[in-house]
Amino acid sequence: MALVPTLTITDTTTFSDAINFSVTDSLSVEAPAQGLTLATITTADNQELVDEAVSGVFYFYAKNTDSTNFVILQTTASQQYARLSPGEFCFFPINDGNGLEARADTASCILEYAYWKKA
Amino acid sequence: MATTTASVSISSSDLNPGSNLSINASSTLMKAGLTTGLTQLRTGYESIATGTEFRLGNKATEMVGDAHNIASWVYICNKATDDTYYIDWGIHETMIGRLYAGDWMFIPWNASDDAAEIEIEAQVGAQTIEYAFFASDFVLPTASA
Repeated sequence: MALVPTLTITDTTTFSDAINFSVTDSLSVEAPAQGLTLATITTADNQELVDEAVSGVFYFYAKNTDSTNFVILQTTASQQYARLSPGEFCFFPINDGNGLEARADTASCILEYAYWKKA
Repeated sequence: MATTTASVSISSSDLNPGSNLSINASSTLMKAGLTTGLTQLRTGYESIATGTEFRLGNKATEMVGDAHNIASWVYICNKATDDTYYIDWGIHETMIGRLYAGDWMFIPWNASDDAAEIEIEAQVGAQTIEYAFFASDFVLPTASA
C-alpha cells in the first residue's frame, strides 16, 4: 500500500525572496495502521498513541484541533520533543521502541491523528 | 506581518478499501501567543558522514525572547536516493525516529533547553539532508576574543 505525503511551505511577505517549496514522498506502508482518529487528550502523562512494544518505523500525523491550548508530544519515556499549538500539525517518522505519547498542557484538547507502519 | 504557511496533504488510493485517503491540514507558523508570525529562518543543505552524532540547528540558549519551546519549527528531508540509507534523528541522547531516503519530517520543535538539541546520525552511508528552521529569535554565537 502506498502513502503519499506532501509538505508545502510558502511565504511571500517576510523575506527578500519568497519561500515556496514543496516536498513529496511515496511511502510503502503495511499493517498495523491507525486510520484518521479524533481523541481527547487530557493533562495526564500516560496517553500512549503509538505502542512502543510494536516494532517498526511509523509515519505519524497529528493536528491539534483545539482553539486555545497546546499538546505536548513525547516518547513513552516522557522525553518531550514537540508542542502542537492550536491548529498546528506535524508529520514525522517514529522509530522502533520509542512509542509516542500525547499530553495536553493546560486543559483537554481534541487531537486528530493517524499513523502507518513502514513496509 | 510575517506569514509563513505550512500545508500537508497525505493521500492514498489503496489504503482504505472503498475510499481514497485524503488528509489535508494547514497552519500559519506563529510566535508564542499566536498573534505574530515567525520572522527568522535558517536553511541548509549538508552532507552527513556516518559514525558521528551531529547537532542540527541552534541550542535553546542560542535563541532568546519569545518562548522558543512553542515557536520553533523544523523541516528535514533526507535527500539520499539509496533506499537502504537512513538518518536517525532524536532529541539529545533520545532517538525518536528514522528518516529513510526521500523521507521528510516537519515538527513544532520543543526547544525548551540545551538538552533539547536535535541530533542526527547517518546510517549505512554518508547522506545529504536539506533542512529549514523557522523561529522567532535566533542569536548568533559570540565571536572568540
